[in-house]
Amino acid sequence: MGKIKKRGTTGNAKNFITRTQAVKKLQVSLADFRRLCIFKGIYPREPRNKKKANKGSTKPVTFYYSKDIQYLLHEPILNKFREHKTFAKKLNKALSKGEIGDAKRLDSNRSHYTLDHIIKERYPTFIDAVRDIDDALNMIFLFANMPATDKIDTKVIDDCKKISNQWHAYVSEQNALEKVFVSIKGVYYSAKVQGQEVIWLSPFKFPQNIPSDIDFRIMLTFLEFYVTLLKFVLFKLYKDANLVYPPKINEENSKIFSGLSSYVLELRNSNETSDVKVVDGRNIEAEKLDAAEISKALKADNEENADVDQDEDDNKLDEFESTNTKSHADKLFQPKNLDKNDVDPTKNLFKGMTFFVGREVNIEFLEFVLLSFNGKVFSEIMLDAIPPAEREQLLADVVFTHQITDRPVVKNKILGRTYVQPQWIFDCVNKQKLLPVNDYAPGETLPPHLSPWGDASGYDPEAKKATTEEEMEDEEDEDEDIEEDEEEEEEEEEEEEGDLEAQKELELEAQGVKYSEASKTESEPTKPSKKRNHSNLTKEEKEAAEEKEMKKIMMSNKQRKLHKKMEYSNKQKDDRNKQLASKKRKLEKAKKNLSG
Amino acid sequence: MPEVGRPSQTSQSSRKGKKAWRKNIDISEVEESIESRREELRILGAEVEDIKSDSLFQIDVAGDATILKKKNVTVKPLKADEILAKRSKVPALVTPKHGKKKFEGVSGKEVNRLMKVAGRVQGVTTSQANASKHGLSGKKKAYDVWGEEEEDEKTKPKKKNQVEMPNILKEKSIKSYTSATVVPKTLKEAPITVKELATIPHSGKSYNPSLVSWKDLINEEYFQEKTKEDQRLALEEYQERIRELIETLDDDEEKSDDDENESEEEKDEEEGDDKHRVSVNKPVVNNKKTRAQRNKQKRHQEKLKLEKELKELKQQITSLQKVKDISEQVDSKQERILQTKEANQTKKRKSHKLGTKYHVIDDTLEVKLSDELNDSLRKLKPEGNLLYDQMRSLQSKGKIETRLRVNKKRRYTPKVTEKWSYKDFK
Repeated sequence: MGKIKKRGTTGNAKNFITRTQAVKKLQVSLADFRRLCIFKGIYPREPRNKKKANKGSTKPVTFYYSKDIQYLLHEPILNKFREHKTFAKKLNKALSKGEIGDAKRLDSNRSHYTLDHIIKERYPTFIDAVRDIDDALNMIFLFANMPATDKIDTKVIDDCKKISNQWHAYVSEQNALEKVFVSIKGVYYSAKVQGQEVIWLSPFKFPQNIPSDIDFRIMLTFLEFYVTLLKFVLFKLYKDANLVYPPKINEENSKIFSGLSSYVLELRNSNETSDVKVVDGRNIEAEKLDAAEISKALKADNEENADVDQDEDDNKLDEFESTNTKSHADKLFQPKNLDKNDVDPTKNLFKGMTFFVGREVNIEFLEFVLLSFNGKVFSEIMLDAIPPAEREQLLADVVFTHQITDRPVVKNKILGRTYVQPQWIFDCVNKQKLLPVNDYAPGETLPPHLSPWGDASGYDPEAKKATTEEEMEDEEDEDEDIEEDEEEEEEEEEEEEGDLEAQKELELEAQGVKYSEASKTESEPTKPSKKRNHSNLTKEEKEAAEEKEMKKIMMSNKQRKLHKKMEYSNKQKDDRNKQLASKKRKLEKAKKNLSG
Repeated sequence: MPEVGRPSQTSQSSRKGKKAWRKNIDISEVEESIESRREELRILGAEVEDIKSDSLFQIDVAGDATILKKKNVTVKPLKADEILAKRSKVPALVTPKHGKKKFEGVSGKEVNRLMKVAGRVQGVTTSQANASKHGLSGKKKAYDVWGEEEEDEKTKPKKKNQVEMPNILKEKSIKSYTSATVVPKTLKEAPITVKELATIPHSGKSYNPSLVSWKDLINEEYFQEKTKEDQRLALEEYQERIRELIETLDDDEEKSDDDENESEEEKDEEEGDDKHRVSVNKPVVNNKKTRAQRNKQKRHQEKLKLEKELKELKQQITSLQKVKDISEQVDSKQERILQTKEANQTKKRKSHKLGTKYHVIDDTLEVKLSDELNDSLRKLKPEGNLLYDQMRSLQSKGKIETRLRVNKKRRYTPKVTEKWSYKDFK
């Protein structure tokens, strides 16, 4: 018999600590403890046996790892919290004595805590931080669109707005945006930053009702951490992209419309104006480029547009020609993209196009999306705000290729402009090509806006396109009907085979030979070459199947049922996807036949 | 012309003495002339003598056109306008502005903020007060946390005169806390997922969804809501049944009519008693057990204890006989455990609770009905509340435990006592 152990010295009793115990141990207030846990990433845990962890009590209590709490004892911020407590006492004393000058001095001399060491600790490498950025972005975008109340200060909201705009500026400058999905909750974006897919939700600009049962102290603590995290992440991102952080703000524009357009991204270590990277379309500096560069840009554009024309349908050709001959100004705004042209053609989806966005359309979403794909945007709101003389000159200089409108009827249409509804932009981005504008003309019933992540059961028409094309090449000679017949035949044969095998198995068993051995010896030589898909399984596959079978036997009744259900639902999903894919293949074939 | 001079006095014959004479002397002429002076000041802004004649008069050269126009104008200006147009040209008195009050060189606004920081304003936390000054990100400028250059700069001497920090101080702590040396493994553990959350939105939630995906979403939401509603109804029914049972527990089924009558009479009596009771409070019930009761309880407990001991003994004997079987069972069980471990790890949590007795916030219903769907972005009304979404995601990722705001309740019913006011008279 082993040594008798004292109760409560090992296991759950030792490894876990309740919240009250933790607060007492750290000697901070509960509020400070919660903040500390959020900053440090210490989460509530669940012991396997609550009774053992909490001295026999089974009440619902929050547990933490006691090692985590022990580690918290060394946290510099904890000390800062304690310092703040003494500071508050002193301040209170001074205020109650009416020594306001002293109080002021105390306040200005006190030290504030910083979170940078925590960020370094929680995310040892930069990639770790980028991987975990989704939540932070969601929270920041949410608060950027909130009204200031007694619980949320304007400063907080301004901070969030600034960071969200800086993020948008970075993503659009790097052309990192990949997918857009306009949902009933807001707009989902997906971008590839540093090789990581980042998905975030930007809410619509509507007054949200602020629920009373949300704990804003917790939300704001998270927000504080996230804002700090993003500040550092953005700094690093900007630095890696050789841009100045924080980006300058164009005062003139920010007065009119404090969005993305007022951010001016500059290259680091450069004072020349030609190096100014302008996110905004309406920047006068950019127009003053030297003549050489203009000609260079024009050349490049012409070449590129020729390529585009080849790809486009015939009905689109006219518009492109009309813009190419006249427009000079619009090429000048994107000197940065000259080098990038060859890299990724999908990123230049809207290159050479100038969009006029109507007042009724939400400019923020469109501006971000268009700029990320190298389009050029002018909003009606902004044009209205500049003095009339300047506006007229601008309108004379710039040739708009597209006007985005969300009204059923457009009066006073201008020749040469293509009128589309905003959904066209989003669908083009998701399909990675320019769609025919006819379906998206104002007043037209729009085609459905599909999710770029596929539909609910996981069928994504875009994702399978590559594979289906390969298959098409293989099968081109055969007719669809023959294919189907074959499939049916195969199935029948399979059934027959199954019956035969079962019979053989029974016979062999009667003789006393194990099934697995028998199949090994027999299966290989007998099968003809046509049925290679089904019968000619490799040894490994067979073994795997057998193992599966064995596992099934070992399962309890409940588990087996669950397994069956799972298999069934999976099969249904697969079948549906296959069906849809084959449907699509047929459609494409039909199209080809018609055209060819 | 406004009336000038003093209000008229009653006729007074006597002008005896200097005072009386002065009082009754007629100075209206003098005052009239002073008033006319003032009038000139009002109209011209200065005395007539001081104004140059150039600015007083001008030679009308064009003349006629205006007169012609005036002749055509028949609209009479309003009286109110006329009165308002008569404004004095003497500049209004300028009172010196009071500068904003400062206490010891600190503005009132700043004092207010200090009060908030000190926690003296109700409903404002210190962190809120701090955020209102510096914002959330603090005063510190952004730098490359993951780079190493900046860290070196910190320890380098900034000025010529400054001495570099000695090595001992770098190694040993000079702060009030000791920096931790070993980070526990538990800190790196991911939080417990309390509830599965979809990061990618359902395709039916598109503002302009395809019919198939929209139906899919509607069906999904319908089943969720249906199960919720069914559960609620079942619970309600159960509660109702329990309530009924409790109510009918005391009734004796074989009660005769007489009994009922009696009980009614008793009730009446009781009610009558209520009216004439001395105290408003409920009567104190004595819950003390009698000695006989205590003894009975003791005996019962002893009996139970004995029985339990006997049972345990019996079990021990039987289990000793089964040792072999059990050891075999244990072996087979361990194998099974190993095999089912994988399944257990991926198994979903049954309850969506962590550390508290409350569930994660329920999903809100985010669907558009067929009549609400329109393909225009302009007419789109957003669904759901993102604040709830954020909270839900934090809770279901296990980053925080679910807590509800609970208003404090009174623990006991307050007693009513009569105030002994006669004691006030002494």
